[in-house]
Amino acid sequence: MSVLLEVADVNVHFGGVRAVDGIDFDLETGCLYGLVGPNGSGKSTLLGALSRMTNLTSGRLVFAGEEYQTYSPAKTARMGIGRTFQAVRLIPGLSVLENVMLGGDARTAGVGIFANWLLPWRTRNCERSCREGAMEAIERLELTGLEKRTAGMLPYGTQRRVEIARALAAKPDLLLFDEPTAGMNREERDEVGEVMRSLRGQGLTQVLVEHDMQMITEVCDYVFVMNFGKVIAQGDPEAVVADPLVQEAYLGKRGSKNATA
Amino acid sequence: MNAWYSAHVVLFQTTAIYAVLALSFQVVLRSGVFSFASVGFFGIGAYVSANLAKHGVSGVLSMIIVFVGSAIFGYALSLPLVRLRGLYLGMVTFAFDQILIVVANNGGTYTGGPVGLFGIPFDVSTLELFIVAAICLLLVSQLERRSIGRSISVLRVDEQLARSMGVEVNRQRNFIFALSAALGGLAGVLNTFNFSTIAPGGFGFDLIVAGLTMAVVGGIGSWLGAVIGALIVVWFPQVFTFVGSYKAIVYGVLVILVVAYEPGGVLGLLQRGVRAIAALIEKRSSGGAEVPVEEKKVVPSVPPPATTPQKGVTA
Ligand SMILES: Nc1ncnc2c1ncn2[C@@H]1O[C@H](COP(=O)(O)OP(=O)(O)O)[C@@H](O)[C@H]1O
Ligand SMILES: [Mg+2]
Repeated sequence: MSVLLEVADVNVHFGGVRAVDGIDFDLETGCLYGLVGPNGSGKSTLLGALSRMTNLTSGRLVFAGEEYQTYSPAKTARMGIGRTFQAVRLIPGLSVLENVMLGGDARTAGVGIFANWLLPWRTRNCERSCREGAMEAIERLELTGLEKRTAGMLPYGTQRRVEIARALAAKPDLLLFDEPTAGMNREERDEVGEVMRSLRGQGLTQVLVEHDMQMITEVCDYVFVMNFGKVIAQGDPEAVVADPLVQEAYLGKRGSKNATA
Repeated sequence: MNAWYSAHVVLFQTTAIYAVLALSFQVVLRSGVFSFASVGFFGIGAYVSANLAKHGVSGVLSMIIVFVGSAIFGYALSLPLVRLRGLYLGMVTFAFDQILIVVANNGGTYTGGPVGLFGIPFDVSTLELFIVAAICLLLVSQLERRSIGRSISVLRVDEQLARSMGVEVNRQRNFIFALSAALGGLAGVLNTFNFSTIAPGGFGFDLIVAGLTMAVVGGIGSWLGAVIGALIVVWFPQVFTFVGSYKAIVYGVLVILVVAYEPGGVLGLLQRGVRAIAALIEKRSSGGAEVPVEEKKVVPSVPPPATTPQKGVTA
């Protein structure tokens, strides 16, 4: 298998806080990775670093052979790295369809502001493919029928699915999910897990930050465990969850209870 | 009717000019760029076109020169300002306006000092004013469509999200600033051509208040809001004459009310009304028995848990 993303000795320090402390790993194309760890262990900061929204203190990032640790977040997104956020971040006043289409715009923004503004014939095709991509993503997350609804008025779990649809509409090559199922019920989690499995089947590389161990073991191919900004364990999900070191650092005494929650 | 029109023609002309100024404000505010520079560019456009007219430059050419010139100047100005946000940008652009007033007061024969310039040998017909305003409306309305429309909506609400969607935020802000400058300058040109006069008092604090009022009260969401705002600001004092010298206070109160209760402005209010009526009609025609479209699975709006998998972990 080929390496899609190479993370080499990446550090993100905030003053004295080593939020990400010497992370080193390769992600292979088409795999679904889990990223777990207690709160404050640096998972979100690491995703921020990978999507270039957080500046690295040091380290190297290589995506599909291209070194990109100096790129802008926008360029990184256009290059094919998509992400979702830990908190819901939709544009509440826009419709579901418009919110999802925003994702698709990531790849058409390259046409330039002028063409986008005054040359409608240059953007007609972009707009059409953006709409098609958005409809596909909407269907995939079973949001069909809600396209015209105002995003801000929808229930929380539905808004989360709109976010995932938006990330998908960008047709990324690497998708980073930051706790995408927080606040969802079991049924919805399973549904999102299924979407991820099917995306994996299509060869999409994904990183899933998740606290739900059941979801991690069911969905992921490989798991990284972080604590204090470092990877403290990695490997097969079942084995990692059973690792006493991980139990102690992350799952604590509630370990078994959490795993079956 | 005709007599009424002749009696009010100045108001029609002012509406067209103010609509262009309102667009200049609306364009930046809609993008979340809190700038008062429009009024400074209004002054620049007014004085530059007066001087050009003295040298016999035609009206159309003068408009083009000011539009392009203001865009370039605005772009250059935005380069150091692009990192400023909110109130800080507001203060800097306010200072920019004030500096230009000082320049106008001390500009010698180019500006006519505190008295200003008058008897500027150029005239523009009311129809021409409206044509120019219509072109500006068309230009701005194109910013509300498709991908560029969406990206600007995101820019106002969540800049970081815009970045993650591939929008080059700073580049977009520079562009918006330049367009706003060009529109502000153009409004100044129209003002000079129409009234044949310009003085430092003509682009002072009052004009900032008027511009903000038009954009905010009309509704910053769309070019239509700017039109509504211009209509309100120009015709309101005419209809409610008792307002008279308390205009600034009334505008201030209006802006506060809108910001507090209806951020979409009058336009937002109208849109809500239209939607409500449409929903009512739909309900009637379907026999009134229809249940609102149901989501596939409505989750009881669970608040996001604090995502604490265990207690006692501190990192
Ligand atoms: N912008 C920031 N400034 C300072 N400290 C930060 C910032 N962002 C995160 N941190 C700190 O970095 C650590 C890791 O946070 P985070 O990546 O959000 O953890 P996780 O997502 O695993 O819960 C925490 O100690 C947090 O307080
Ligand atoms: Mg986090």
